[in-house]
Parts: sequence; structure tokens; C-alpha cells
Amino acid sequence: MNSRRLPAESLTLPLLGVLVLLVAWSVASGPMKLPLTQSLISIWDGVFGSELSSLQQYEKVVVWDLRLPRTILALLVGALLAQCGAVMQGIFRNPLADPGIIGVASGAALGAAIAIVVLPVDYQYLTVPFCSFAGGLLTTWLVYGLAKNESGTSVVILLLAGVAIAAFSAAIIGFLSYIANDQALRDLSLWQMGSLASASGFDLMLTGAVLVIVMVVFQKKANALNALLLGEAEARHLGIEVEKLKQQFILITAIGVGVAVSVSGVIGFVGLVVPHLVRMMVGPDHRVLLPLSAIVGGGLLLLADLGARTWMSPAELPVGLVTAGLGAPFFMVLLFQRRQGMM
Amino acid sequence: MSIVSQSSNVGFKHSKPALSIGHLDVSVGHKTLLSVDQLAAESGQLIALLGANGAGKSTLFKAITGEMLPDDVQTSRVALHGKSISQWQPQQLARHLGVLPQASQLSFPFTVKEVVGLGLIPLTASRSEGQRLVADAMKQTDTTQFADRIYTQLSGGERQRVHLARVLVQLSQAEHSPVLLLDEPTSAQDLGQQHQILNLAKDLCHQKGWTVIAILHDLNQAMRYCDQVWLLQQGRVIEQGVPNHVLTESIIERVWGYRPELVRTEGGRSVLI
Amino acid sequence: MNRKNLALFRKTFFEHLAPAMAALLVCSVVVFGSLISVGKANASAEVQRIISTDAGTTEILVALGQGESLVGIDVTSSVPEQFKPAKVGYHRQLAAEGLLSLAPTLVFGSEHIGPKTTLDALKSANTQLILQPTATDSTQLIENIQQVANALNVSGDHLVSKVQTAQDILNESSTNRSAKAVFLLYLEGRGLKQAGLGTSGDSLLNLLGLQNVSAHPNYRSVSAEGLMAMQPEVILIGSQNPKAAEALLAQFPSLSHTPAVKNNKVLIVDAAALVSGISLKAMEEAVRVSEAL
Repeated sequence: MNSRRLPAESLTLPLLGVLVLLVAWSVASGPMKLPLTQSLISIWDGVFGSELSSLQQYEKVVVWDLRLPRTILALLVGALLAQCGAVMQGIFRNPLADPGIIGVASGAALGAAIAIVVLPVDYQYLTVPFCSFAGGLLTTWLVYGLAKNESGTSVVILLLAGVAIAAFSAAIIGFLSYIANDQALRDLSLWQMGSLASASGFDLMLTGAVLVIVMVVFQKKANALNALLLGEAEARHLGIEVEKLKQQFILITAIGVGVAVSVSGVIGFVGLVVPHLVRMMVGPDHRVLLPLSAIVGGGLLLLADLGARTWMSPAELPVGLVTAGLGAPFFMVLLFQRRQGMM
Repeated sequence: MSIVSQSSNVGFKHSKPALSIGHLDVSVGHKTLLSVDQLAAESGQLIALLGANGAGKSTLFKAITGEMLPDDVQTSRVALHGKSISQWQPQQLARHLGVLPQASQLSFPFTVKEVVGLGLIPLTASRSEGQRLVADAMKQTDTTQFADRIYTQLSGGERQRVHLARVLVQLSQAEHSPVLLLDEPTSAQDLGQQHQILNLAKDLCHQKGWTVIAILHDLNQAMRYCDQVWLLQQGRVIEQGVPNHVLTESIIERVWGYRPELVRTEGGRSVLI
Repeated sequence: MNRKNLALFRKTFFEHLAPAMAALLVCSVVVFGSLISVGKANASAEVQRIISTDAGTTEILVALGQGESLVGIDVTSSVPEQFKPAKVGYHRQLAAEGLLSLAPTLVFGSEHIGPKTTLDALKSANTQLILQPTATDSTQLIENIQQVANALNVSGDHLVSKVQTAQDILNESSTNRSAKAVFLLYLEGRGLKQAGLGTSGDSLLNLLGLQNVSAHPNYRSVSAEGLMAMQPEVILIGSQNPKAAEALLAQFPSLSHTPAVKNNKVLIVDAAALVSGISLKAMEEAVRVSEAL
């Protein structure tokens, strides 16, 4: 019986093609009805400083300042979350792990909560990203420190420490919610649902740079991650420095997820579901799993964001709600299939 | 786990044994898991590591690979081809010391070829050469027919052979004769497969000069295939030598608690009943 | 790709990928086709298209007879049933494109409007934006009314005089000066929240000349015991339920020992009127309460 796998090389180009289509669709869609070709031409204008498009000024604003940054951010964040999810599933040798498992998401939420409730409202657009990123890194450091002993870092303890820190940070967020005024409360709950709307140029560049670093580092160690799936002892026997590898992966994931969460709030399920999907298509070899997850993750988040901003037009749904709403049932289907497979 | 280690001096500068173990002491609280002094395994030898359950056999393997002891203790304890384990560069060590675990944690749906291909990690090989090494190893372990099947759908015995193939690949570029540790390689296999594996081990030793230490439970197999026996009881090596000398009625009775009947074959070896 | 991979590829391509891609392409063509038609709304010079993201401003607009011009309101605003503006979401997290898609000629908001990127987008699109501070007293309310009236070139005088009259009535009733009071939000089954300093409940108390006994800012949960310790002489309950006072006493019978309950000075106020500071309705409520005291 042969594997029902798709060869990765033949999948990449079609997926990239679909991605390009999705980008065009995203730029052309929204509450405002704008002609597609003119929208694309106005992007060309924006890049090359020409004046070819026939769109009005405020329409160009919509395409260039609103839709395009969102589209790019969706691709970047989706790719980041999907890659970090795949790596965490490898480190924990468990396909149900998600990138927040090392505490970074709960720490980022805590940082954001502190910024929203305690720090001055007027500077929120600066303090929230910074505090959530710092929070994410700090909690990861704490979780890792808890799990580390002389003989290494047990993934079981890492998992439990992540759970403990998440509970602790939820308690503090609860307290902050209690003392918050109504506006802060609303802001906090919206932040926790995720949004790709407020993307400054700086955010995009930072996220892009981090994505490149993350992808390069992960791809270099992709085969080592494969070996890690054999078990840590076996990976060590193959000459891999397991402790150093885990440290690196955890650090890079914390940075990647930390940046993603700080620019877009908490967006769940992408890091969990996308690697699963891709693994079902091309198998668990990380050398193909990682790059394809980046592509599929970016595409899926883009689709989710498209839905988020068109379904309740002219208002917007937080994109995290869409990913949860789609991701949770999908995840249940996966679990069901797994159960079937075990019978 | 607390490790009580006593300082012993000497680095073994003996270049002949493939694997030499100085003084090793591993205990948890008051219980001694392992207490070993001066063990040596020569190249080209198939050694059976025997003992009742809990005698310390797996512990010895872990001590050899350095999983049990912190590095500074390793220094003068275990030496591979005269150089202590901790001084070997990790990838080079991987090419010379291979371990077949008793059971594997792997639960992801890799194909068998991919699993065996993981053995290429410490090697430097071109793509085609890697494929050749993988194919050879799978032929040696009789797993070629599984090449494109999903690992998680195989039986326990089949999986074990896949891992054996992987370890064979791992050791195929050794500059000195490699050392292979087999942790109960026959436990999940049917009778025919058991003998195939042991024959393979014997050939690797006698024809290619490898050193193989296998944890076995079947004393007759030890008799039939192995050049040396290391007998452990309560963490200590109570006997070592050729099978005929070690596996006598009285020793077997002492260790396993039953007195066997030994029948001598024409080839001069004994069979236990 | 060797032959086996090629065969596998062809198989999966035709069985899975091609249909999916075809479906996606068809969808795209349909969507693009419908988008290619230019569908922007053209606003004529006289007809205003107003978006209001502040409840108070919305109320003023409706009172000034501009309900028909409202094309979008935020979730905190409410309008009479005959008007059906689009809902643009929460005023602190507005979607820029959503706002722009309504082709507004004028956008009203309070100091809370956000996020910053949406404001920037509105400015880049040269949309007229008028921000009004939340009214905490009648003076600011009058200013807001006049600002809206001026922006729309209509007369707000009748509204201003209504507010002024109400304020005059409140000024005259001096009997309530310095009476200790609390403003409570009674969420049945979920406890009591007391309006602290800086809240709109606090503004209402100030309007009535009452002294708010709470020293803290914002709304805080309060227990019956805490309330008793404050010995308020007047209790105002913000609720939509006309029987809220009875329900409150039923749940917290110990409150009957407060001067407010003993002297029958527990009054209901329509909480919706205070959503965005002192509104026109809030002025009416204040007058009503003042007369009842």
C-alpha cells in the first residue's frame, strides 16, 4: 500500500499561484466597490511613483493604505504562525501542539493587558505592541527556566510549565479586567480577538524581517527536527546537539510568535491547523513541511481576513474569531479522523 | 537521579579495544544500578550482554552513550578507540557509535525510506550515494519491500528492522570500526527474523570488523552467535568470557535460578534445555 | 521527477487540485466581474452623508432633524426605527474602509474615536472629521449642539434653549445641594456597580447638585455593606427596568437602613441616556429626577 502523499515539488508552484490570486482578490475586495484593474494599477503607481490609475484620491488611499498593508500582514503573520506551529509540533513530538504552548501567547496577552489597562490610552498604538512582545519573551524565558535542569529540558515539564504560566497570566489579566474602566475592557477583549487592521509600515518591515530570519533558521535545521521526532536520545545518537537545538527553536519561536502577536493580537488555530493540513498532503518531512506551511498559512489567514472584513460590512469582525470559528470545527474533524485511524 | 561517581584516574590509552570502559558507578539513592570496572570490547567481536531483568544491561548502554553520566565523569570512563567519548566531536561519534533502541517513540507518518534516510544525518554523502546507502541497509535488514510504506502502519518487529537499517546507514562511513549497541534486537521478531538479525550482526563483526554488543535473552542464541558474553547481576559484571565458559550450569542457576541441562553439540558448543 | 512521481502527480492533480483550482478560478472571475462595475455612491452637494460614531452626537443629529442623512452609526448610538443607517462597529475600533465605503461627507466622533490608523486613513482621504468632547455638563452639551448645527448649516437654537431651560430648572432647585448621593448601575443577578468620579453617572449627580460619595474613578463593584457604610441620602439607579428599585431592595434588604430608602429618595434613571456623557435625554431625566426629589 503506497502513501497517499503529494510530491512536494509539484505542489509548490500551484500553491504559489493560488496565493497570487488570493492577493489580487484581497486587494480588490472590501466594503468599497473598486475596479480590479485600476486597483492593481494604483499599486503599481504607489511602487513606482507613477500616476496611471484612474482612481480618485480617497480610493487610492483605500487600496494602498488599507487593503495592501493588510494583505501583506496577513501573509506574513500567517506564515510566521504556521511555521512556528510546525516547529513546536516537532519539538513536543505532538501534532496537537500550537505555537503558544511555550507560554508566549499568554505572556503577550498579559503584556498587552498591562499596556491597555495601566498605561496611558493615547500612546496605546506604541505601548501595546512593545509590551506584548516583551511579555511574550519574558514568559517564554520563565517557562524555559522552569523546565530546565542539568540534564536538559524535558518537554513534559516544558508543557506543564507553559500551562502553569498561562493560568497565572490569565489570573493577572482577570484582575486587570476587573479594575479596568469600560473602554479599556472593551479594547482588551477586542485585542484578544486579533486584528490585522492597524499595520504601520514599520510593523510590516519588522514582521517581514523576522519572518525571513525565522524561515532561514528553521529551514537549515529542518532535518535535525526530523531526527528529533525519533526521540531525543536517538537524535543525540545521530550527532545532533539536542539541547542547543531546543533552545534555539524555542527562542526563535518566541520571537516569531511574539512579533506576530504584538502586531495583530491573538490569532489562534493557524499555527495548529495549517501544519496538520500540510502534513496530510506532503508528509512530516520538515524540509518540505516548513516552506509549504508558510505558503498555506499566509493564504489561509488572508482568506480569513477577507471574510472578516466583508461579512459584516461596513463593520469588521476580528480575524481571530474567523480563524477560531473555522479552525475549531476543522480541528474536531481532524481529531475524529485520527480516532478512526487508530481503530 | 543522583549519580555517585568515584574518581578514578587513568585514561585508557590502549589502542586495541574498540570500546573500553573504566570504572563506572551509577546509583540511585542506596541502590546500585551499575558498578563496572575495566570492561573492554575488541573489534570484530559479537558480544552478548546477558543478565536477569533489572541487572543493569540497559543502564550500561546508557552509560556508554553518555546519557546517564554528566560529562566530566565520562572523561576517564568510556573510551572509543582510545579516545574518551566526551572528546569525540558529536557527528564523528555518531558515525562510530550506533544504538538500536528497544522501542522507538516515533509516531509521525514518515515513509520507511525517510526513516532510514535519517541515518544519513551525520554523514557527508551526495544524494545518489545516500540513496544507495539507504537501499543497501534496507536490503541487509530485509525491509526493502516496505520502502514506501508508512512507518506507523508497520508491526513492532518490522519497525525495529527499519531502525536497524537506519543505524546501519549511520555507521556506514566510519573511519575506524564502529561499535553497535543492540538493545534486545530480537524481542519483537519472529524466529526466522531473529536469526537473520543475529547472522547479520555476526557478519558485520567477522567480515567487516565491527564491534557489536547485543542484549539478548535467549542463551542458546548467545551460544550460537556470540564470541564473548558479559554477564551482569545487580549492576556488576560477574562473569565475562567465551560463552562456553560463562554459561555453565552453576552460573546459570546462580543468575536465573534454574538449573539447565547442557547438551554438547558436535561443533563443540552447548545447547540449553 | 521520476516516472512514479509523475504518475502520482498527474493522478492527484486531476483528482484533487484541478477541480479545486477551477472552482477557485470561477469564483474569482465572478467576484472580479462584479467588482469591475464601478459602484461608488455619488454624493450631491446638498445631500449630506453623515457617519456618527458617538451616541451623544447621534442623538443631537436626530433631534436636529438630520436622521435621514445618517448613513452610518456606531454600536453605542441608537436611532428611531424609521432610520436605517449601517452599523459601522465599535467606535474605538472602526474599520477605515468600512467608513469610506459609505462615501461620507462628514464624520462625527468623540475623543474616543480610534484606532489611529483609521483616523489617518480618513484624513488621507480628505474626509471632513468633527470630533466633539463627551459632554459632562450642559455647557459642553450646548457647545456640541451648536457645533453640529453650524456644520450642517441648520439652526440648533430650539435645542439649545431646551437645554438652557432644563439647566435653569436644575439651578433653581437648591434643596438638593450637597445631599450625599450615589449613582448605581444595577445589573440584576450580577451585582451593583457604583459610578465613581469622571463617569457619566457622576456627571448626572453634579448636574443635580448632589454630592457623589464615591472617591474612586470609574465604575466599581460595591457590596450592600459598602453602600450602607456610605449612608447615601439619595440613590439613583440606572436601569431600563421601572421596577429596579423594588428588585434592588428585595435582593439587598439591608439597604432599607440607608437614609435614601427611609426617605423614599430612590429613583430610576434611563441608563441609555448616559451612554455618552450628558445627552439631551439625560437633561430631561435630570429635570424629572430633580422634580421628584
